[in-house]
Amino acid sequence: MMKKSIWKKAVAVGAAAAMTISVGGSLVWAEGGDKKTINIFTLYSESNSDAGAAYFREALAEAQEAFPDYELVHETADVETYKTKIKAMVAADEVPDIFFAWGAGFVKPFVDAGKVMALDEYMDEETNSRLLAGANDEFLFDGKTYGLTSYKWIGALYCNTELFEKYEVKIPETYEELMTACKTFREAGLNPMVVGMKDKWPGQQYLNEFTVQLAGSEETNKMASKETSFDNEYLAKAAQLTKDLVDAGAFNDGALGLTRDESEAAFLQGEVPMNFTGSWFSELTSGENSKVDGKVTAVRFPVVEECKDVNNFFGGAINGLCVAADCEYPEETAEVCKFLAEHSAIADGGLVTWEVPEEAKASVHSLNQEIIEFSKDAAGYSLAWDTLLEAADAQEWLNLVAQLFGGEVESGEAFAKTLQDTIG
Amino acid sequence: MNRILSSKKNILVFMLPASLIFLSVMIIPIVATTYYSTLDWDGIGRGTFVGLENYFKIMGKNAYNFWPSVGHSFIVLLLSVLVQEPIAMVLALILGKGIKGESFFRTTFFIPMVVSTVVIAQLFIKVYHPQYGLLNVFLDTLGLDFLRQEWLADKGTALWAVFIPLIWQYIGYHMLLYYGAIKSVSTEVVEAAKIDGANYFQISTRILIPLITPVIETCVVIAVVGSLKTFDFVYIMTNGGPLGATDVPSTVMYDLLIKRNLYGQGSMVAVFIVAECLLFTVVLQTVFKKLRNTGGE
Repeated sequence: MMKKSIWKKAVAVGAAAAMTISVGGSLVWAEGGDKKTINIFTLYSESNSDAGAAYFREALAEAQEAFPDYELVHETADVETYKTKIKAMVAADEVPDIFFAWGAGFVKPFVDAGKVMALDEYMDEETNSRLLAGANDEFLFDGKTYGLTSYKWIGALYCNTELFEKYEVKIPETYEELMTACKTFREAGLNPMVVGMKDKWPGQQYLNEFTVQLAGSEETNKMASKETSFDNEYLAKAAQLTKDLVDAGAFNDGALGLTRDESEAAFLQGEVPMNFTGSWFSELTSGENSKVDGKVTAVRFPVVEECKDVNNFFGGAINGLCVAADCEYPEETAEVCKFLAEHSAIADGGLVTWEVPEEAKASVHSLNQEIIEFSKDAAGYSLAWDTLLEAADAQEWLNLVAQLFGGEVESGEAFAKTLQDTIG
Repeated sequence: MNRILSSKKNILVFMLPASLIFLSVMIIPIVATTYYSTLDWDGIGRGTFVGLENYFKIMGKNAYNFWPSVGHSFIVLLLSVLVQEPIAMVLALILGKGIKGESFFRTTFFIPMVVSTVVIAQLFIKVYHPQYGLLNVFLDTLGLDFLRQEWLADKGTALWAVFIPLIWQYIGYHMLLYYGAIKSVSTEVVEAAKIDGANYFQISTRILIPLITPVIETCVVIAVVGSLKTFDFVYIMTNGGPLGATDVPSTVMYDLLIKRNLYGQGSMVAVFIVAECLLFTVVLQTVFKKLRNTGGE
């Protein structure tokens, strides 16, 4: 009995000692002067084939060599999951040291809540001189910069040249030619264009493009920032032009039930002749799942007759990296953030927001070269409204766009009026 | 042991760990959410107290497609109780009879329950694809191409298209519960009935089902509560679309919380879901209690 009692006491003391030593051990690691850990959270996962993803991963590999004293821990999520997770992390005060964010309406709540660090004090003159003018406008709040972009995107109409040749259709340059092309392809049994309306945002691209053409980028940006009413002739006309395309059968069957990826897969398999989306799509046409590599051209979206300025484009710079306000090593984290942003741009070399060396431009994707060519005289940009508007307004906007594609909006005027009544 | 448990102080001490966990995981979050539902709050900054304004806006003015979404969850509830449970019961009764391959079929019927919801949802998304989906291709093969649909893109078909895999997945789970209950019924009772000349249908309806009523109650409660808070299939397959045709309260809540940053209003929907689950649970328990009492008379 005595032996049993001693044995029990010995085991209890041993277990307590083991726990104490292990806690002490972790304290030793924390104080030990090991590498400074910087946590990075983005949507640039290995499975993300968008252009920015590959360039970011290249920049990250360079950063890990350039900053040997830091441990850069990179976690990722896919695009839609990322939008949820980053909001939850910010709300829970677990903001990653460096994180991806869209500017304007997406990041504004984070900035207003004081969760994002202003980077101005870490931006010296030399760094600023390498940034293109207006690059970080969508991350500018109260005169301070809260994020760094590396690239901009421009909306382009990707055309499968093989299908256009097969059905003897001219690549459209005007809205009327686009309508003709859509009708010809539809009669031949093809879906003329793809749009993944389950995600809702792909459909807005058409409305935004038409609005930029009709109103100009400056006026369009005023609408998005609610400086002017949504109930105006430009948005009404843009909605009507989009509705006319929907009614003419320009879009893929079952679009309301398909995601952007599912819809675009049809284009990448060579089944659909046209896809209008941002220039991030260029890399996907050459990806391992693509059967259209070398068979695609990127052209300016067809211009409407009343176009105000053909050098105003749908697109801009809104994808950026931000730094958490409560990060452990502010100066070091800001340095890494600047490095990642700039080197992502250098890796890209194409539609970027930094000055990049000439050799960086040599590897620009051929389709992005076409886009750079047709947008070389760009005088203004206007981004997608779901990134410019604040969250609640953005959802109302996207829902109304979905209703337009679903045939539940009777006219362009009704669309503009409803939007004004809902979020104006 | 009796001496220890006869002391109230000792009972409280033994209950303390579980009570603390229950409090921290269940009660405190519900209370916190109820408080959040009285705020105008984006979930990140500071909130403003607005009282019951969120309740009036959403329930009173049917904002964000709320009441239609509640209606959709009631459809799931009815399908669960009137379709899922009877099918599960019939399968359990057949297996409980002791047929050849009982073990094989029991495992097979349970497999959907084991497979991830995401996998099943993605599988059915491909089945319903408008161009190359299995369903439309099958209809074409049979010469029924006039029945082709955009199953997940059409407001008229999307709801039923989503609910089919949802109901299908949990049949095996309920079947297993019923099967276990049927197997636990004393064989003497069943043999006595057989001696009296009862066939299996009569044994099932007059003996087995009445005896396993407590398990039926449990399954129905689980099915009802699960239906009212259903989320994953709807979110993955349609995201509440097309145009809100498949919205359920949990997708409305997700939309408010995550997409719109309206944490106060999203919390209100969460409170509603909790309250309706509690209400239905109490109602079901009352109904089954009356049934038991009626049966006893």
